[in-house]
Amino acid sequence: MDALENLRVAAVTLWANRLRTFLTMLGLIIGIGSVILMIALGIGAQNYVKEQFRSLGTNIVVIGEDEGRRGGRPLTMADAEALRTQIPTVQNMAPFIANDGRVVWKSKNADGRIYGITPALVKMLGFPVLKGRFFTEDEVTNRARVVVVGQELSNELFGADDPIGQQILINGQNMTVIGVTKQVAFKGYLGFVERGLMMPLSTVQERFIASNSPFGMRLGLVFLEAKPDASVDELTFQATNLMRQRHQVIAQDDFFVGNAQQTLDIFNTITAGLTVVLALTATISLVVGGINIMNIMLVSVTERTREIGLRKALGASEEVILLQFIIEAVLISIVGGLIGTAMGIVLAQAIGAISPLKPEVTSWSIVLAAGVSGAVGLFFGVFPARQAARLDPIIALRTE
Amino acid sequence: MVISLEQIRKSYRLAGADVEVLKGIDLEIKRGEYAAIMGPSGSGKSTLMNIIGCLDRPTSGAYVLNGQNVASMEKKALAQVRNREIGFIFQQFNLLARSDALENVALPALYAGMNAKDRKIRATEMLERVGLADRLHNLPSQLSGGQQQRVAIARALMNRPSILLADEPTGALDTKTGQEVLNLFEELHREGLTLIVITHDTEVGDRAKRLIKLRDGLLEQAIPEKVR
Repeated sequence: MDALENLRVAAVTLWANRLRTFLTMLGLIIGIGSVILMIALGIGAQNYVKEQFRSLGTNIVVIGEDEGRRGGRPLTMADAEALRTQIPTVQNMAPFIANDGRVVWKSKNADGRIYGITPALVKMLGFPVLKGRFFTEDEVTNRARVVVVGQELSNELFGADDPIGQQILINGQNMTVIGVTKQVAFKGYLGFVERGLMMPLSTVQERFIASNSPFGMRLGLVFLEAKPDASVDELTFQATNLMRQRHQVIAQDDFFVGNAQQTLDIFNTITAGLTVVLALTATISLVVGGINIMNIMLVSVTERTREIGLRKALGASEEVILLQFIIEAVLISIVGGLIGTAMGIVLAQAIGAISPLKPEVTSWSIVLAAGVSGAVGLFFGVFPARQAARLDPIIALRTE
Repeated sequence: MVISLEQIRKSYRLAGADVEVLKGIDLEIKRGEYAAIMGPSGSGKSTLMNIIGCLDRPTSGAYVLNGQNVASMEKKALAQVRNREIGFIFQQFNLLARSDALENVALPALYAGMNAKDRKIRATEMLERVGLADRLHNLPSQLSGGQQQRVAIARALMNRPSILLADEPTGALDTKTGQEVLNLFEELHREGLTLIVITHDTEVGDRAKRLIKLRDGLLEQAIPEKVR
């Protein structure tokens, strides 16, 4: 008996009992739909986290002083220059200093955070310019008295007034506002950008921070950007080695080297774990769906006892009957799986349309769902099919 | 000899005790014979039919069907014997309700592995043979009882079996359509088919050329072929 004929017979039988067939499938439809949706949500969450981290630059390495270490050497401009010139995988280097600042404008005053930076950092971290502009290399060289203000601080100080061109006092120093910016995603190191006072590094050095040390001009942080073809881990390793050499470290580092990749990896591990948990939870409903198929198939075998007896009398072997019922179960589950997959995709897109989290339906999750639904049908179809195959034709034919 | 039964015994376990239903049947049926097996209920005729039809195996004894010793065959081999050697006709027709006449008739050939095209040709011929050429695509529910039984006969003929085995073939039909079915049997007999009819209806039994009477699991007498 050929497979095509088997499939046709199964399709005719299932179509004849459309409502029951649909209800049998329902459990599996929901199960497969949830698996697809949960995996899509999990991957969407991963993408969301990645997107949030992307602006912070996963190709950036940060070096700073280890504040817990006493007696270590400070991080200096000389270190920064050495890192830039001696490590071949460095694309760009940006020095950085920070300090607290008190701002006065007309009768208002507020607390802010002074950041001494260069255009290199602006480019590296992609500070958004909400109004005005950032300062130029020339303004850094000339120690220009210009400032870019964080959005929150700007709103607090200027309210409805245009901040651009305003003269403000920062820790008693007169500065001209040239731009407004807001938070970049590098929160670990730049926690107060919303209340930031971004000024040229040279200006901050000259006017706000007594930053000279026996080893030269002292820095808060040094940002290094890896070349596009270089790995962040490699750069981290090289920077660590160079710093140990320069600071003559014997036992314990007096600096730290961090990169966002590590943080991103942690988040990726968490969201991947979350995806697995969601998918496993949904899998439970798949099992329930499979048991549902088994129940209905058992009822179906009982109802069709006479038909089975007849088929056996006409020469159908146990194998043929077994195959017929297994094919029915597998057909139910595959069709249910397809409907469930379609439902999962539609739901995922609906969620994507109304939420910032964009679920992503991957091809492997569809392949997985199809495979699982087929396997569920096979697994839960075997028992009823065996019951059918083992029926004694004499007793089966006598059944009313 | 198409059928040769020798000391066929069959016992069932019922409520802890062995009940012997067939107590040693010796029976031979020649090719082309038209025989009726008759007996009151409880005489063992259903059990005998099941054994002749290879639906059941005897507890002991020898059964040779068309040269094959079927008494000791495995289930799978028996299914094949039923498929090739026996054409069943049931009291309740036993047609598949969701399949049309053509599909019902073609079913035994499907299990024999005949391809779809040949199945259709052969099934059409068989339906023409029983006078239902214009009913190929009717569902059983769209056919009268007599027509349904003729579809069942066409199905029984499908695989060119050695014997036609009919169990109360007119039991669910009125007298007139019952007679039509028996007329068809007679025609098939004249064409050389071997027919065995199991019945308790003497009118049906009388149409056969040979009467085999069963009582309490034994042949009462083997009435020789009647001269009509």
